[in-house]
Amino acid sequence: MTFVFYAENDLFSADDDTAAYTGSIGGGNLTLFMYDTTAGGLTVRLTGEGVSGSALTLFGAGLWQGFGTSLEGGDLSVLSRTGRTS
Amino acid sequence: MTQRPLTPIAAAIGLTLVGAVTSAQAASITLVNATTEVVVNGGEANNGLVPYDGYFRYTGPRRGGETTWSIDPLLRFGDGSTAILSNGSAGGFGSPVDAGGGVVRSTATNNGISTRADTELVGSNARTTFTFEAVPGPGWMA
Repeated sequence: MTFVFYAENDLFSADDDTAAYTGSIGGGNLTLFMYDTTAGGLTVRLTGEGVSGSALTLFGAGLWQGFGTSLEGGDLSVLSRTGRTS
Repeated sequence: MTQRPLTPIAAAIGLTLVGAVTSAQAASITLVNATTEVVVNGGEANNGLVPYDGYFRYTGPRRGGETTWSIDPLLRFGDGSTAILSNGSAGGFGSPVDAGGGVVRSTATNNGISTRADTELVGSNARTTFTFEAVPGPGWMA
């Protein structure tokens, strides 16, 4: 079974928003960020940890409609171990 | 430190689980401090990933804007089916309950897996801890 944690944001507005990440799953230090490329000053940080009985395996980001619909339908191909966009 | 841009503006992480509580209040529960407000809906949102109003809504300290408004934890099972935990009307979380100590708790059981989500407001951070347990079923022996 796979647990997926999904977060959707409008930062100041829906315009100019993007996502990035630092670290890696292999390095045990993956962090996702969502921010506005023009407004600045606000970053949403999303971190996940594989703890006892689980392992962090996939991540990604995308435009909310298609991305969210894919995940909701069980299509995890929009995620990958190295990060994927859709 | 690397930082490679991804495409806006929803993001998700997946954890593969190896091996793998509630009373009805029918209301969301709000955690608030001097700078931040988190409204925990549990399954009260009754929707999926695309509509707003997910498991919780977060209003942060900057400009008073509600920046994070669709948080939707989901389970994907081996047969490809999913359970959207923010959708209480489809088997997701029930109404959240105040577990005390600043913790708001939501629970659900799907496909033999019980899920408990405990959300706290720590400074300006919303922190949710998920716990998964196999539910004893027919043929299960302690």
